[in-house]
Amino acid sequence: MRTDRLTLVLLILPGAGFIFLFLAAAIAMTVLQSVGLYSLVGESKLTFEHWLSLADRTFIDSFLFSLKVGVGSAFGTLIFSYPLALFLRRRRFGTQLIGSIIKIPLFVPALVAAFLILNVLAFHGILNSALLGLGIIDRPLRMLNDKFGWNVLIIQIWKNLPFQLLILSATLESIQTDVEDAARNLGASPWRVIRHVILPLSAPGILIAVVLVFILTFGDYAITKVAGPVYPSSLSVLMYTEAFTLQQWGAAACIGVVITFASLLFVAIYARAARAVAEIGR
Amino acid sequence: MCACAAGFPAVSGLRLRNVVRHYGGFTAVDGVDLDIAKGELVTLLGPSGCGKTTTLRMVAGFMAPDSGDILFGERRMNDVPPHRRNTAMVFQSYALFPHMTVAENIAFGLKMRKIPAAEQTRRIGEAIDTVSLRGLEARRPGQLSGGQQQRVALARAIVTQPDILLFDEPLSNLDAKLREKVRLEIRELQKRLGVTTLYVTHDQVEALAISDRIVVMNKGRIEQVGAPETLYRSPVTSFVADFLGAANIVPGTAAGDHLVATPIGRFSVGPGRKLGGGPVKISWRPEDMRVVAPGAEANIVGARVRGVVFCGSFIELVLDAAGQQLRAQVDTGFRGREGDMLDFAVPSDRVRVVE
Amino acid sequence: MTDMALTIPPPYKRRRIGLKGFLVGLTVALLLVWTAVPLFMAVMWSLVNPDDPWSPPAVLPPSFSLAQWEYVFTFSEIGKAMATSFILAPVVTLLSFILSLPTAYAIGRLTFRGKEALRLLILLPIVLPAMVIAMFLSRTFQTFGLAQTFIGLVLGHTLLSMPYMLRILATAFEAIPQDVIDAAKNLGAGRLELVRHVLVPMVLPGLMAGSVFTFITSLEEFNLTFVIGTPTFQTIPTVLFDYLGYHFVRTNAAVVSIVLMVPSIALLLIAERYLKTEYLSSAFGKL
Repeated sequence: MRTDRLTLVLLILPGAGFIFLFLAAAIAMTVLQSVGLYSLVGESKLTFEHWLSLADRTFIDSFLFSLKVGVGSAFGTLIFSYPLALFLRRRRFGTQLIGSIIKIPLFVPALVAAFLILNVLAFHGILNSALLGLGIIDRPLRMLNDKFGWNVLIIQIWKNLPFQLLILSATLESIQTDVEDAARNLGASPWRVIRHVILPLSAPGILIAVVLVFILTFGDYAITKVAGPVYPSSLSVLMYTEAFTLQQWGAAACIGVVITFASLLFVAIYARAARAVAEIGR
Repeated sequence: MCACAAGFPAVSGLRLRNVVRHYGGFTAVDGVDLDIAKGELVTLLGPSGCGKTTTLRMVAGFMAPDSGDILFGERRMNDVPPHRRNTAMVFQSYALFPHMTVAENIAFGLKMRKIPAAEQTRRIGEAIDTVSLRGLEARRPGQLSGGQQQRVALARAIVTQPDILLFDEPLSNLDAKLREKVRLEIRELQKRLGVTTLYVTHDQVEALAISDRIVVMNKGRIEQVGAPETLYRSPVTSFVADFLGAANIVPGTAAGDHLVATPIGRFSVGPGRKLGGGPVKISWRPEDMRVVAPGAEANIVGARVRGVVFCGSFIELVLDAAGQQLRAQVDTGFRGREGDMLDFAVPSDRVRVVE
Repeated sequence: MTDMALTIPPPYKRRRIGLKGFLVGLTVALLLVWTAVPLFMAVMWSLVNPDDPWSPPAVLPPSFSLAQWEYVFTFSEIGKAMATSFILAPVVTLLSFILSLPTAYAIGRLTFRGKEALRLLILLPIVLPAMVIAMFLSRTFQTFGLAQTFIGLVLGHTLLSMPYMLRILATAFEAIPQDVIDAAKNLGAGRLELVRHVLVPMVLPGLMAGSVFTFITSLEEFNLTFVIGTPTFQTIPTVLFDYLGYHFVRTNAAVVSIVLMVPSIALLLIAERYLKTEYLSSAFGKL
């Protein structure tokens, strides 16, 4: 069905055009400011000094920290979400209930999630109360804003578990039960069915789930600001500080470019994996 | 390790003893009792929902009977999980592993049994040659035609030398011509290997063509078991008569030792059950009706021709006999026309009493 | 020839309600704890009586009161913030819908080159780092005098919420069988009738789901509002952020958290019948 060019463009323009316009504006501004143009303070001229200013301990530490949070969140969530997805695959009584309970964190906004977990882990929180009550410790533990970033990881895992679960469930569903039955029939024990058939067939879906959580957590601001250690901060927090506290918009823009570039890289990986997922369904 | 000379099953036969299986409030299999000898190909035949696939899956171990026993030889298998049963199933959808090559698919069962590599290669090569897949070993299922996929499924099953071979409507996704060819190949292969086989289909022509015995199932119960020709010629119930080929079924009353009075005439029926008097049904095949000149002979039916249908190798007649619709198959020399009133004869030994 | 059929099977007993039931129960219990306890704790903290402090090892607060709620609603910006949030969200949803509808139709039902690239473009606002977009979009807005304005907020929120609406609507359009449209045309429906009697009713569930998602996304949006809106505009999330940072008062944060969560969860429960899993996975997972 040949749609005429003009109609197509007119249809796409409102939605895609809007997104493109503002996204391009934001990205363009980031890139331009990173090379010294459109500067707020002082004169605007093309320079790479802002980029050079990144070569210091603070940036590297923040970069590594964000990387750690991204990878840790993505795989930490996977450890729980994949077995759960496998478990929920066969319809037993209780799957409906579990499915509903699981969905809840999906609808809890990031800041609230941060608060909820911090609340639990706080000095006066339920975890300390429980541990004290059970006699495991005799004084409450200080668990907040820890240097490693465990707070952040726990919050991100809590928040992203249903998200990964959704994606993984959809992937597992696309694997025909026939193929699983055939494997069992040919002598594969339940564990070997998973290892030889289900795992390889769900690999693209796993990749998507991991990549998406990585992207979401790598560039996070709010949760890391609230629950993360004082130093190092995540890249987004560093970027914000550079801009609003230190008025170093140039440097901030450079960090922005770095985060954006990393995200785009992983978006490309996501796109690849998504295509592979589409092919499994045959 | 048993090294069996010809064929491989060491297990003698498959036995189902009063197997029952429920699905929620519905009874899918209602007391199935069956004895299959070693090396036999037995077909479970029936309409969808009759319980044949459920029975097959219970033999495979995918579900357990609610009551009753499944025995491979002397051994009770109810609690044995599917991966320890040494059965092999060819699925309707073939169920090939999409992420493995043809060779890897076929190797899977051997890998699970930890067969040494050299032996694996030998057996896989043999299997590939048996189903004529030489040259396609490195392809993936997505790159194969339907017929080729089916052969991979077959090779994958037989290479494990199973005690019992199971088929779940393996030909239903193939076109008609291919179906005819492949079912013969399956039968030849099965006979050569001598493996006990349970075959499920809803296609009665297929069942008639390849089975040692057919089990006709309806609503979870067995209607009749027997060799194809026995079932065809001597159906015990009207369901079997009507399901296997076409049948003319007429109600009547017993009127003697081998005599049945019906609204369309008196019929002398073939040997079989002794008639005890009371209402019965009789059945005969359309191809057993002959046009005869008006005259005396047993089992004459006068009928008006309502339709003449050319079917290639024969002509089918739709007949009206005193309000009862009948079908006849006559040879292509038939010259009658719609509206003709004709007499047809049915030999007594071709008329059976059915329930 | 294998001995498999001849060996004695290991003790594999089929205990139907035994092991499996236990695992199900255990999983449900653990999930309940994992999910519900943090929520429960927040509610508890919002109801703490200021005259009766709650500290370990007490598992529950010694007594309850609504004092914290009173405090927050009297002395904080929460009132204005709620107004802003609840005016912003519907406006954003409406704008998203109007802009998304034609594009979603094109993606869902038309074939053209570059569709995959287009889908990726639409995904970008969600996957690109939110703070980067927030900061540098605000800088752009500053140039055009849109910073610290309501319109600026609307535009920014729409940018971030629209992808959900678009993807869900596109999936809904795609799901309309071509047969149905052909049948309608065959029976005499013109373009307008087609839209009115076939397309719109059939994408209505998707529209509902998309609206719910967009509404909630706008309600919960933080980064952009924080940069572009504050201090002129406060929304519920920015107030919460305040309470989590410098002025960390547990009880206030608890109250605001609940204020933020309740509309979201309520909306989703109401929309449960439209929110089938396909919509959720189409919003997130599939390309």
